[in-house]
Amino acid sequence: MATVLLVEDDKWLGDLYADVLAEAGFRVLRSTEAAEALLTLQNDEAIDAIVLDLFLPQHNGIALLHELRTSPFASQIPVIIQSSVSMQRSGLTPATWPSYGIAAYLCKAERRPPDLVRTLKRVINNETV
Amino acid sequence: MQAISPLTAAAHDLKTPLALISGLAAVLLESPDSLSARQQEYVERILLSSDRMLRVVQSLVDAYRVDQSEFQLQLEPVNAKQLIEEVAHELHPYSTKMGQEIAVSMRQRSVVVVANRLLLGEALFNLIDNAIRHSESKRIVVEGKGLYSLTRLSVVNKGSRLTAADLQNLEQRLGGEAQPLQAQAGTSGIGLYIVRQLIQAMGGKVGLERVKNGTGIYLDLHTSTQLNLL
Repeated sequence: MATVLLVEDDKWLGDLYADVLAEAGFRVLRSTEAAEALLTLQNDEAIDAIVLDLFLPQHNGIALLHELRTSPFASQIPVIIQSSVSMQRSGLTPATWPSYGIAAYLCKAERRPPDLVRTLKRVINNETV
Repeated sequence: MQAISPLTAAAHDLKTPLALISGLAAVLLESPDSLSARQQEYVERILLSSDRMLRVVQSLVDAYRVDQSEFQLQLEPVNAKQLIEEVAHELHPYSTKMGQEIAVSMRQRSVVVVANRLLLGEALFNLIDNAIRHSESKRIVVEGKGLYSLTRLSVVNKGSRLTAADLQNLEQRLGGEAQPLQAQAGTSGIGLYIVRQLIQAMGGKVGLERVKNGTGIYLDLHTSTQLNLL
């Protein structure tokens, strides 16, 4: 069973994604803010992918991405960005992905929860997204 | 990311519950057998409406950022036909639900305009969405034609029952200089405000034309000569 760290500050949206992922067979760990996410990564070595919202309380997702890249606990874990901001508007175009460890970008306005399941399966199985 | 303006922050706060509504509806539709036909229809409407609202919120933020000169406006050659087809495809579920067809008609094989692709897409989305909501006809036609150095993209609403007063009001709202958001009167013209703001920022013009049995709102944009780039 693959484990996913879901970093989403909105409780109900987090509940929805967690339910859908659990139903699809993932083990889901949840964080609502960056410090908690970093702590979870430090304490749980078996995380296969991170699903990250870009707007988090007291921390923006880009800053967290920088911390993840330099963290000995997380630098190799693929990140799926899931944001209400489109990829073009965030500036996180595919050319920037390698430096941030981003494996996929899902805009919440355009993608549904089942898309997250499909994307995670591809990323964890090392398939091209 | 850049510093966040109050409107952008408000938009984020609007988009989060809208994404939740849309996501919940999508998950319900994954199990259609558990819904009656009527419930399924209602859930589909919830999904389409929340998706449209998400798009309107984003367009509004873009128009505001253009208004505040916050947007890095990069103009490039844009294949208008391809973009119109993408927007029509995006609106297809909604137009179908409303019993309408979106037809794309281009006089030239390739119509390339100078624009910002993202913003032109937002403007076209708002225009076509507006036509779907207000048209009496079963067919919305999006036309493109070259006018020397300009290209005219029109969303034609045949069967429109606008009165002379309606048309005059529309012309007033479409003409003149771009106005800040707070200067827009009424609650029904936000789509046109967005369209005008975005198109004028790209050096284009928005206007109203009368066609046989209907009206069209057109966007005049500079034609690109860099056809070989596409």
